[in-house]
Amino acid sequence: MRLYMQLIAARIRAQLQYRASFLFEVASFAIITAVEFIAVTIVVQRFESIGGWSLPDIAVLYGISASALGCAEMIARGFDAPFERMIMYGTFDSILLRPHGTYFQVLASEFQLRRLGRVIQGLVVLSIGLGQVAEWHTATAMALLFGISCSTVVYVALYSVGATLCFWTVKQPEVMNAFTIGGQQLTSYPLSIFDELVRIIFLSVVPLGAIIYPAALTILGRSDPLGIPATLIWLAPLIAAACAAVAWRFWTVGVAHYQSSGT
Amino acid sequence: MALIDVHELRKVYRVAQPARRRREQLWRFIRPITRDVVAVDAVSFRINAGELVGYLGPNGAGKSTTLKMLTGILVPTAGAIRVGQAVPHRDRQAYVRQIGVVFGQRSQLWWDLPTIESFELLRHVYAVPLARWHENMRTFRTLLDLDSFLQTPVRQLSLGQRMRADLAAALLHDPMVLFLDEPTIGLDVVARQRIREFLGEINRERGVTIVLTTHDLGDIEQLCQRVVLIDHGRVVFDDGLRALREQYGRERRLVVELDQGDPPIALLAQLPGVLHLEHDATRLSLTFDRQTTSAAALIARVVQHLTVRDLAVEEPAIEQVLRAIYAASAVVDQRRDDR
Repeated sequence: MRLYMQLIAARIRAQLQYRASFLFEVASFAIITAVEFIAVTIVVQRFESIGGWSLPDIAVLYGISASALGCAEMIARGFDAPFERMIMYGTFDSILLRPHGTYFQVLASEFQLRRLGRVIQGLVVLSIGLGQVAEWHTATAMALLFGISCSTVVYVALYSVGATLCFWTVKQPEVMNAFTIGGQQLTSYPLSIFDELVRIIFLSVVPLGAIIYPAALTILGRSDPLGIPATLIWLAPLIAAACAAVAWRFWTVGVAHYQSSGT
Repeated sequence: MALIDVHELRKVYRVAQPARRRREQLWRFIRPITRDVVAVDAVSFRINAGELVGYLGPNGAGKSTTLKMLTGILVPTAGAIRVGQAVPHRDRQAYVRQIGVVFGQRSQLWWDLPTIESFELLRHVYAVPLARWHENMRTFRTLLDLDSFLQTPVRQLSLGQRMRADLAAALLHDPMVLFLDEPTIGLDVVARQRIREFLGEINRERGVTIVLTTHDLGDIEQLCQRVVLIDHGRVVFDDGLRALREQYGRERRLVVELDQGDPPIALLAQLPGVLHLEHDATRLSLTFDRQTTSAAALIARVVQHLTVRDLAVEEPAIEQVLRAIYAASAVVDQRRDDR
């Protein structure tokens, strides 16, 4: 953990070397993601409510999902484009030459502070949504905490699965964005409005819906018309752990393939 | 017991067969046809602690692949490697603590940061005790003259500076073996010389075992006590540099300074053992096969025909020796293909 901090601190120092460009990027990420939310706002206002959810309700969903994705992007960017480059130019070899786990090292190879833009924007929207919550219980706060942290873990797992595919494909398959960015947009709306197939996918295979949606249900004291229990949020740590375990296992298979195929 | 023991090492890559016609491209994308490429066929050698060995061969001979297996990056298709107590790819994390690796073409340093920060990060990565780290840094700063660019970001270093920094980085954690893949590639004469001197010193003073691949003949002549030569994935020679010359360097050259012009060229060219003759007004150079004739016998014959002012017998340059070996094994390969 100390080593992780030192490596990350080095990455951040490197990024801060270009101060103006850094500030500009943080701002542009905030603006880009704000525009995303404005798009959501327009949709909701058009229909007044979606699946019985008002705009502030949806702000809670969106806020959790966006800030979690922002955190994941910040932490796990090493699995994204930089990793693709690692495989293409063979710098992954250097990772194998260091006396630490490869998953850890790739995670520690990049930390994009500029993604803070999305996190901040997500938290701002979230706080607007939370403004309407009259009563706060321990359970509400816990649901919020679980919602953000556990979905962050799932997003990170998704990024690493995308990276693992590079061991075979070299280029990162575009389809992963459907689950990360697409997942974020989808979980910004109540799960009940979606088709059954989509619901099943986002409750099981890519269980973002099984974390973010019940978290919002619990915080807002709502119930799902289709019977998805709000109490599902208490399973979120287990779900997140399972995702992380699967992603890590898949990763080790990928590394073994790399070492024996010698790309 | 040898420090490094490589036995019948083999590595086969499976590569996609590219389409010959453009029409085929889409079909090949859907159903790729692969073929196996043998990069390393059956390589065996042993290296003792403290040796400095040149691992040589023409491009595509399998040098880098062998080095990648020795460093634990790649898993062998067959055969065995043992370095110290470790099997490189299997014990990777523990093993890489004991080795240092420098790839000439690729830096292992943190690109965006001042050079000194890479050394500091490596201290944490390898958990080098602070006192030991300071001591090593002091040594390398002097030997490699690092001080002038410690504060410069790695991306701004010249190639020579970068290579020096990479060498220091590879040795900060006191590895017992140093693997180098073309450490002098692209460097100027002075920078090359400095790297060679440094490697020699590290090998002598610290007893670091060094295995290096290179195409640079100066590296081989000045550094390598022993040469392992591979071609087409097999070891074709493994012995001292002297033995290499003895075995393959059959050609030698007799250079004669003449007192007066107009030597009997046709006659000289037909002396036994003479393979090739060049001359100008005052100089005559005879390439001869030393298995057919000795230098003494040839000189005795030459002085019968000429008034000699001075003469010298030249050893074959290692370059010629290597060229002869590569050419010979290419012929063997050609025959194998023809069959």
